[in-house]
Amino acid sequence: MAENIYELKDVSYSWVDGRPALDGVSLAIPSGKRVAIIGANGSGKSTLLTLLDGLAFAKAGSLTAFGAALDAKALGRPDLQRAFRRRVGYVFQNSDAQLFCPTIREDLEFGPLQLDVAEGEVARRVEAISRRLGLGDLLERPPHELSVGEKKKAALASTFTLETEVLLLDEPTAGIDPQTMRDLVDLLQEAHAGGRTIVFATHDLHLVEELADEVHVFGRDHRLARSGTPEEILTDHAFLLAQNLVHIHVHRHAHGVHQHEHGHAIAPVKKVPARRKKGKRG
Amino acid sequence: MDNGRAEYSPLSRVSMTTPSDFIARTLARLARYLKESVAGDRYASLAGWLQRTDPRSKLGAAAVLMAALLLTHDPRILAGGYLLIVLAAVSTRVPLGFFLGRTAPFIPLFTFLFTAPAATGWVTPGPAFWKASLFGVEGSLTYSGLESVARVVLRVLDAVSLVALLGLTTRQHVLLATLRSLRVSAIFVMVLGMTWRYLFVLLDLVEATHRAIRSRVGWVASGRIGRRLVAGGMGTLWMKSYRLQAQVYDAMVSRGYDGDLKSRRGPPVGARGVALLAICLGLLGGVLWLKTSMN
Ligand SMILES: Nc1ncnc2c1ncn2[C@@H]1O[C@H](COP(=O)(O)OP(=O)(O)OP(=O)(O)O)[C@@H](O)[C@H]1O
Ligand SMILES: [Mg+2]
Repeated sequence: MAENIYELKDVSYSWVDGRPALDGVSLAIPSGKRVAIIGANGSGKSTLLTLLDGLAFAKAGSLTAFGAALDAKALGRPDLQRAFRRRVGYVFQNSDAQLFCPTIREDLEFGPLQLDVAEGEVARRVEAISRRLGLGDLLERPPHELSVGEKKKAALASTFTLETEVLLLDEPTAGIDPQTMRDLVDLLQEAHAGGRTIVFATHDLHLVEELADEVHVFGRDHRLARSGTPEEILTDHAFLLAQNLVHIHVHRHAHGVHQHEHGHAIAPVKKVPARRKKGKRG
Repeated sequence: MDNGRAEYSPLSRVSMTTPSDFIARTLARLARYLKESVAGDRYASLAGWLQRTDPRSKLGAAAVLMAALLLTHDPRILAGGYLLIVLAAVSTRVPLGFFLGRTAPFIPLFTFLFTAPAATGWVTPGPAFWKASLFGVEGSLTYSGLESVARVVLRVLDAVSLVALLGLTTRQHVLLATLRSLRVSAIFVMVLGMTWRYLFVLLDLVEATHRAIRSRVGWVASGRIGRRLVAGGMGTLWMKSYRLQAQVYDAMVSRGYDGDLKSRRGPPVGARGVALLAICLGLLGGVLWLKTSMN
């Protein structure tokens, strides 16, 4: 499968004039791949995902999705807009924005109902995903009663019920516990096995190691600093340190103080062990 | 019980004495009050007969009874109606004290204070019930005046109790969904629901902001500095809520919302719902019959 879902050429974007959030970014997202976007806070990860979901449009450069320009003109056409929404799902970094219905169940139903999925099928999807992510007890509760991690789970589920071929995930593991992390990784691996394309922004290098086929690193200058495989990028500690992705940690031991990089420790990358807990990175 | 979060808030725990703390304390109180009002949902999740009745039929029944109230002039019938509502509340597991506390004291009392002058002979002339003279000014309470005050107060009491009973036995979001299924403009109901939903997000933000200020500058001793911090916090809050609104809209569009909201069809009303509606229609019929046969 050589075809690309997204192609970006010199894409720039700014929320506020004169202050770029993305600057001259060129990259391609190949169909069926798992692509990680990493970078310091404010480097433009969420902005990139917003553009990929067609919620904002490149101010300079060109962005194509599924072989056609993704711009205000294309998405202004109701038929193209709908077709696009059926193919791309987005989990927002802020779960409070994503859960806007009175109950979690209604949030899970919202997407497929808008896209005219039959009610029986909607119910089946809600049932299936709640079982997978253990949402059973939460379904009838209002979002404001949930913890941060529970909200994240529900937000993920509300996008999964769309069953789109492309999944854009903004910090999918923020705030969730190790077991849920496990379920989520399994779910994403299944989605991948089913041929879906996954783009995720994260600060969790373990997730990158475990899940990604390709990694794009954004610098604090909002430009693409580097692209490569997880092996290439995660073993380059000097580079990660310069990008704020790991930090120097000072330890105090009985015999004195020593200093080393802290964050991610894979010397040669070994392939994913079957059951690994989310590591400590702090 | 309530979700307890407001209880753990340092804002509501620490005793506050400086003037600038007054703002924080007021906000915290407001937050707590609003959060507790959700706890009203606890009676809505009990297994009483009204709780298990279809919300559409309850809404319909309430509307029919409202119409009956407006058509009834006789205070004795209105009082009987109040008894019925209280009975309904008790029989559906809402504790009597709680129900009376929510409905009885304030609103009818205010109504009484505002309408009381109508009981006097100056406003409503007629046969006097009680006469007095003070410094040579003659005053009287008339039968017809008392009756019209009783009518208004009882009507308000009945209406408030009816709405409270509906609210207490139906979960907030179900009520909203019901309005929607009754073809009340979907977007209107959605906005109503979201307002409710994001009130909590904003309240949490208010609390978190104050906690952050407090933990950074410690005890806010000077009223002036305190006010400036609060004002700054409010500015940020406004920006945050503005951004949140934009994000919520994006999240809706991202999942296929195109200006035409689609929602699920509800299940059928059920025998209990039909029966309730029939009884209430019967009451309305009775009121109408009384009205025509008395004229
Ligand atoms: N809605 C907005 N309005 C104004 N500026 C924004 C908005 N969203 C993002 N920005 C700015 O754009 C830049 C990129 O932000 P973005 O949210 O894409 O970063 P990020 O890499 O996702 O960061 P994080 O790791 O904190 O999530 C930042 O400088 C930010 O201040
Ligand atoms: Mg982000």
